[in-house]
Amino acid sequence: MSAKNQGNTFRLEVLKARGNGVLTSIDNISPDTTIAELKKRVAQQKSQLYPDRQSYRAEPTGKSVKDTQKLSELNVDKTKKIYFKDLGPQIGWSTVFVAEYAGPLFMYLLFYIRPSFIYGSSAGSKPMHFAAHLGAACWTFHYAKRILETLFVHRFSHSTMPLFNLFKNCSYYWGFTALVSYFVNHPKYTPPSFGYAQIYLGLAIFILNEIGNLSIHLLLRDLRPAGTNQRRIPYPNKNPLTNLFHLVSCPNYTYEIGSWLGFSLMTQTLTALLFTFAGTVQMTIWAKQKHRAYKKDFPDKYPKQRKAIIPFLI
Amino acid sequence: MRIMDSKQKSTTQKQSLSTLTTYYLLIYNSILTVGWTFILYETIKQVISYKSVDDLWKCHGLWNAIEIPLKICQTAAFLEVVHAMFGLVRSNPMIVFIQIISRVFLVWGVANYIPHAQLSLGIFLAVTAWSITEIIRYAYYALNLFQVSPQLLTWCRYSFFIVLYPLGVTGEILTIIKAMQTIYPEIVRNRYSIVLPNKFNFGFDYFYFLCVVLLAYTYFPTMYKHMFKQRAKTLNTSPSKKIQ
Repeated sequence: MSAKNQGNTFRLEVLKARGNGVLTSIDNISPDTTIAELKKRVAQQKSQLYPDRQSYRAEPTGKSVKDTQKLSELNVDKTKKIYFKDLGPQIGWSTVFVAEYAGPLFMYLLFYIRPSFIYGSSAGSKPMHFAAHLGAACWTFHYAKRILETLFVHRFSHSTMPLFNLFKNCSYYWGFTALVSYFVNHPKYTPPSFGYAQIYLGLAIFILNEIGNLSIHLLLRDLRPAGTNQRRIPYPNKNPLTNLFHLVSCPNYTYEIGSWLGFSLMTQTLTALLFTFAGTVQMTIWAKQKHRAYKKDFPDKYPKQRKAIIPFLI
Repeated sequence: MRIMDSKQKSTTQKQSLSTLTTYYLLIYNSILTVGWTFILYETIKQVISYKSVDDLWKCHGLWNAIEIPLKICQTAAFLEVVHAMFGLVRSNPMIVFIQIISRVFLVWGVANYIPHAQLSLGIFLAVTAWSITEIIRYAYYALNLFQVSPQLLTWCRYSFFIVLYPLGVTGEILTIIKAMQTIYPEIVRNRYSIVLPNKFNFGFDYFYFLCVVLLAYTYFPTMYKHMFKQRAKTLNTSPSKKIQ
């Protein structure tokens, strides 16, 4: 236990990392103060800079410091200076995800009822193929599952993300929803070439991969103790679908690709396949980052036969 | 001794590679300078032959005269993306790509695809602006390979755009509008679009596609301002630089 430097309070200058200038100064701050506590004190003085917007560094250019670190650990009690960066307007992670997923959910259903302003006045009365009904059911299931997982399953490393990401991500999700749902729900929709065999095969693939994806999310949730940012190597549990961990670091992404491949097969719609492709590209990038992080955190113990996202390949 | 040899060998290899690169780029830039000069010559020759305003407005015969060299020179510019990717030139491949794709789209995706769009004053304006710009640009690059950078040429490169860039954009927009007018009627539209129903449930309306392309030109003011900044930097015209 380190001795408390009670008598060594000092005046801390909070400087702007970019450009020159003082943001503010904090009087009578103790070297034992953590970054998290500093953020609260700065927020008291500058009310628009809530803690999640604040980022600190010991040097003007350097890595930002963690909330748990103390000023004394960073030598800031000697230099009496710390550098501040404004991360910009932040938005809660959960808020983002619900907005990103609620939009696609409702937009698809909007196209599903074949409103006349999109498809013309006679469209609503025309018969709809079974595959198109299934498309709507699967899409709704997928996004409802995502919303529920965001609310009840996932644990996030950061509590917020930049506001700009909200617009970027919503454009992606809502844009592709329009592109996919417009064609699957169209009055001139052509059912799959191989008929019901293809439809049911696609549906089975979709369902299997959705359950797989959920299985991985539940495993990951139990892997991380509540309220911590601790990282551990994930291993398969009793659920046979989690055996994919033997082959890849991010089987949740693998299953996600599988779901959308199933959906594309079931609906035989080009834009669904494009959506699958776009998602695959993005998830491969994320999987490779995660895979690299795992190997860096656990250089000796991390299983060598695991790839990032596609078994044996990537 | 052997280690020294392989090191010397790799340095000379690097040198000969760089000489090879220089000569390749010299040939590339020279051919394109000549190509665009020819396109400009043919364009002017055509346009001065016009006898009426209607001729000029429709630019009869212009596309036929320049079609082949224009397609070759404009499409060959994709090589510059490759040059940037492999470090032969110091440019960002993505930026080069975006600059080329808009021109290539106009040649192949508008004028070539929708022949009626060839009969537009826009073609004349765009091709004139492009050819003057490219002649200066490729000549500048060619000379730069040998560290030659005539002040006059540099001034032209960073000043002509003031007139040529808006001129070119006007020409491109006029051409696109002519194309849109042509394919607006449904009978014509369907010939140029992918229509439903089909096996892959995919539709692509070329008219609306061109609408989206037009929207992309809203970036023009930003790009124009950026070029002025570049000009100020290169020609040292910003007032703060003047030291008494």
